[in-house]
Amino acid sequence: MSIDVPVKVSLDGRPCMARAGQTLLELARERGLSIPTLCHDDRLEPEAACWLCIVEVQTPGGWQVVPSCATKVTDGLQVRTDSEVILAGRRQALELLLSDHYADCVAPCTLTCPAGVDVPGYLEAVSRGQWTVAIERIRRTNPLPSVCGRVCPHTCEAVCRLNLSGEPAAINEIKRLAADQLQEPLAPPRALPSSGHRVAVVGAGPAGLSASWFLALQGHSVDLYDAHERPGGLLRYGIPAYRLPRDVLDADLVALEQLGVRFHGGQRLGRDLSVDGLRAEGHDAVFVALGAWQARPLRLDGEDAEGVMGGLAFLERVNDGTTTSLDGTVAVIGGGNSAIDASRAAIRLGASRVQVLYRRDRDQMPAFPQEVEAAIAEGVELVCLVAPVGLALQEGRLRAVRLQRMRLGPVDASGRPRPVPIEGEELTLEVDLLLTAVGELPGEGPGAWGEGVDAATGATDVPGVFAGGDFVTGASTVVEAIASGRRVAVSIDTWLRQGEAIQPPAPRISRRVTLGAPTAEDCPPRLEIPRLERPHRPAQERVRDFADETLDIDPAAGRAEASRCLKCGCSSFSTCELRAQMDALGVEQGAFDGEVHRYLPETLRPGLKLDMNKCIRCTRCVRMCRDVVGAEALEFVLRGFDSRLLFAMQPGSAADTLCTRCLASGGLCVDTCPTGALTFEAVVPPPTPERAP
Amino acid sequence: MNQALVSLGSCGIAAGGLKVWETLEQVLGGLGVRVHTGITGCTGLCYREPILRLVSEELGDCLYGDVTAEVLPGLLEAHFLERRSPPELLLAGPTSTPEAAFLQSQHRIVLRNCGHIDPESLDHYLAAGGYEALRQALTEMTPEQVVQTVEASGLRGRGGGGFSTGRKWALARRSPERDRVMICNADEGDPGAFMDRNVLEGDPFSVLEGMTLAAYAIGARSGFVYVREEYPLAVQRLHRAVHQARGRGLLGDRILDSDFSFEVQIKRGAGAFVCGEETALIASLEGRRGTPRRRPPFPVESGLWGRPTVINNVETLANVPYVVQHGASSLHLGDGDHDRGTKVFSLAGDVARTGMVEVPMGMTLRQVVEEIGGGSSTSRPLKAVQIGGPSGGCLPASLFDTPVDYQSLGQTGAIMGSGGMIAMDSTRCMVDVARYFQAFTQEESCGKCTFCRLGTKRMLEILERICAGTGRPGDLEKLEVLAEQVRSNSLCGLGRSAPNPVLTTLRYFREEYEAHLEGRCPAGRCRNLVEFRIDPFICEGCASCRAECSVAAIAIDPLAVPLSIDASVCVRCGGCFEICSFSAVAVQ
Repeated sequence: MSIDVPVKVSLDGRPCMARAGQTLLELARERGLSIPTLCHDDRLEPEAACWLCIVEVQTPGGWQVVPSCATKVTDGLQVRTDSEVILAGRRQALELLLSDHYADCVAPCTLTCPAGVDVPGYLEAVSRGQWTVAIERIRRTNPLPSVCGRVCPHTCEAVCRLNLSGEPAAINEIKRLAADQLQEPLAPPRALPSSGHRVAVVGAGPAGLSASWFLALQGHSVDLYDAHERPGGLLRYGIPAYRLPRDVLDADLVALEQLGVRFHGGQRLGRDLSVDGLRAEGHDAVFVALGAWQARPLRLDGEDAEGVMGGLAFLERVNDGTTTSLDGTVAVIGGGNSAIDASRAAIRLGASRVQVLYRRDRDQMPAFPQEVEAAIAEGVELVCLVAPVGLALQEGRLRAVRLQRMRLGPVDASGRPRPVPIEGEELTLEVDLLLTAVGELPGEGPGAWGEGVDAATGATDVPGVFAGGDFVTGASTVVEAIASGRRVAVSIDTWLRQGEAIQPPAPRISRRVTLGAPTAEDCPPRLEIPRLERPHRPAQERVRDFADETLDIDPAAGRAEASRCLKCGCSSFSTCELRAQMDALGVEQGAFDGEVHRYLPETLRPGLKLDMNKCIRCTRCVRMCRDVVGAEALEFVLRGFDSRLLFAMQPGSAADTLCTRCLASGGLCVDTCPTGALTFEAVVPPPTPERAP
Repeated sequence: MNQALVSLGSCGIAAGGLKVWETLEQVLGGLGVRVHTGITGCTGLCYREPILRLVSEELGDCLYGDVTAEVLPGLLEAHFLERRSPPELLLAGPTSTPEAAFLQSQHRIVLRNCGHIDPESLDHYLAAGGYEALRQALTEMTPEQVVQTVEASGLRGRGGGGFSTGRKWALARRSPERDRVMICNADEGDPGAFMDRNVLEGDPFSVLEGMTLAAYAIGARSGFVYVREEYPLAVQRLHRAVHQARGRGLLGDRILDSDFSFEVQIKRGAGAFVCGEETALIASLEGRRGTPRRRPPFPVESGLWGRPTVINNVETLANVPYVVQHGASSLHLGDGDHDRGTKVFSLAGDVARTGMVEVPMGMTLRQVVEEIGGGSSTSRPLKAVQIGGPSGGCLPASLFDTPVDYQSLGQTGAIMGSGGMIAMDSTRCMVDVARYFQAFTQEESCGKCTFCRLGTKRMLEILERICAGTGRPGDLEKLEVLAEQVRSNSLCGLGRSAPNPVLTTLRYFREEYEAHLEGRCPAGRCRNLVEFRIDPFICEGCASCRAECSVAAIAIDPLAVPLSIDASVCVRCGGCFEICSFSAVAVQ
């Protein structure tokens, strides 16, 4: 028996005592120094493979780089852990590892979603029929799942990797299905204990609702004000009910109420309220999200005449019940969603003829194509390549609109062909009601059009006053407004707690596109079934009312659809040590271009999945399996750039038994994997490919 | 006594030596001369194989080259009956030959028996003084004295490390663990290097005796020869040698009736370059993947199965019997300014005489390539010498006066290495050479360390694009940064030395790299960057280039003299350049 004599070591210039036999990594950690490592696991012998844990030691030849995990303390050793050489080495090691890491930390659908909704997460839940889990996952970043299930432009589907081999997953329909499946509104998550802070949110549209939700979850007391009688803003007073049934909207608002958000209707800023007044009433912060309701003017004489109205103002009157029927002819100027909404509302109210006048061609319309198609099916006429140049009035009332014929010219700054007048080609259209929907502007107020508003935090020049949503950005989508509300809620929260509005930086991530665009071969479909499409009521029937234009889908078909998801993101996102080091060392992917391995995921055995794209060759799993489990089921094979893991297990062997037992009790290979290369895979029967008729 | 000895190393066999050996008896029978026949290992003059050594009273010891089975009868008749040496075949003998310089400038200690004795006969080895050292050691010396003699001789590891052999042995002796292990590292893997193979094929007993002496010195009872599977002849001759030595009591229990027992096993490696690294070699011997581990602990403290282990290279061990027999001063060859002893090199490339050479330490590179190698084999001057293989470096002609010596070579950025030496003339592109070696080390990296696995790959890709003419601004700087990182942030010698070819070429031939970035390959090697032209003032219109051209890039018109190359059709294979007898084809 020997007694270990402590040894003296100089660590970053400070003398300290170390236990004999201790490694430099152990010593540094004991002293509270953070040294990164990817290949070391305290349960294993050091391997010195990743070279992230490097430190420098003094040798007769000068400072020498050594891996701290595999270097033992010696008496008198001088060690430094934070020189430029060390940091540069660590960064370069990480850059090299990331240069052959053909994997997505976050799925493209989630990345492109303004609200950053965990799409693969809720699709996974839906595929198992776990409707409430799905909604809970959506609500982590988007408190209006039912609403978005109806009106979201779902840019996620455009970037879905299933596009490479066929049709994208019907993400939005799945979201709606999950919301529809709930028997009653789902209770909100538990909020943090009361912070003692009060926040006033002015504007109960998607941005205000979203901000209220996240502020309330943080334990703040929220008063939500709106000029309208009921909450919802554009959702209730702009979007027609056939697209967003009001019971659907109300369902999402229940949870907000349950969170304790107090709604005060009929309170218009500037008339009934003022920011100063709200502050004086004891609100520590004010969030202004008034939306963008003002119609952009046509700049034509007679615009104020009777018979000319803003499209959104028209919809507001329809939605609050002021306008219940129409007769005569209606023309709508504009090509966006407001124009289409107005035209479809007009045709439902009984207008004899509804025409949408657009200055470019149909392909360039900003409205969602499916909306345009639905409008045409319902009898709306599309008149393209015309621009209004004059209004003909009769006794102060609109009689006709004069139109200039246009043609498509060269592409302009918006990326679309510029409409160019065709000299001398004009026509006159007699109309009873002209609706203008060529864009909406925010009204007057602090930070209108983003002036004086910090784009990242939503903070205005006035301390404690924040602004967001369409009010700042101009007319945008519902999901953008929801995202804005959440972002500003975060900065309000930090402002309240720390006195400074802070937007946490986006985590650094690995992305396949950084290393090369994925192809169909990289993303083979999981199921050979066609995309789920939701049926609509027949056009002739649905134009008669404002009831839901769509029909239900079979939940089983929805579950099958959700099973088509390729799960492009990484299930180990939150635990991945490689990704954590990207943030810790400030390293981005893409420092090197060159050959990149592209592997397909492998199921090693039921329940155990290997994605070599994510493997960093740390061999922790190999060593764990060999030295701790004793199964030697995993091998490190091949050489150089192509070296990789191999699962080499004889079924029925003694090692097989060990492997089975280890997996059943937690799977040490998965446990030690620093990335998402080795993961558990739920053993579920393949979903039935049958569709409901 | 008349003798006829056929050189049957791998080089001799490859050149047709076996056919000579098979017909030798028959031809001699036809001549009616009584001649003792036998085989030897390689003489080192690989470029003149098949080689036949003929010994007769009248002409003495004559070495003949290019002795194919076809010329064999004529040669035997001339030598034995007409008693004359055909000058076109004679390499060494009574009259002076150009090859004499090749042999005379060398100093053969390691190769003392190669080409002289039958490598398959222990009797031959004994007759040449073999096992005298072991007998001496076992009867007259303590193990400590053997260690001291070797340490005092200044012998250093010839595998590339250059660590003092005697000191390594002394360290192993210090270990309290008595069960020590002796390993001979015969995992020679450098591309173009064949020193160890030729020693094992030509004189396996000297290696075996060296191992036995080492085992005695360090107190090992078991030994292993780790030899490449790709060296079947060496493996076969080693097996024979072990078998014969055991039969004579030179291996096994109570060697030469002493108390010392030692057993040797031969283990074949699967040809992974990294297994030449000692910790990887040990892992491989233990049945694991050949992957290096961090030292310390060094193998002399904890090696094979945790036992103190000494690993010496083939060439080092072949020196040992000589040193023990002739004493500590036997390696003091020169003025004392340089390392002791000799170094064996595989001399290759653009020199007139290529093969295996053994030179005294301190000889300059110029002497090696010019005196021994006979200078450039082409009409162009030598531009560089690549020394040390994939871990080594390229030295320019201005450094040819560097002596062969661990320290002197180390100062240049190259290394002594295990003995690869490639002479290159002006048509060799230094970027391409660096790319070649980088491709080798990348492929042979065990894949464990991040920098060696991925850093060398990214370096290789930069080199590849520079050679392809698609290099980018900043590539050289990126290459340098990566090279330094790979050098300092790798665990074993493979990774740490992998950037050497790049770093030395960047140091001595940077202008060639820069020329590539500007779209030129000065050496005319890199296909995307060259254009072949026929000089109208030199061209004689012989049209041999036209016949050689596989893509009809040279005009078909028989009256078109001088000829010209259509650059838009030319695939830059260089065939015209090689074939033109008038050197009228120029590379631009």
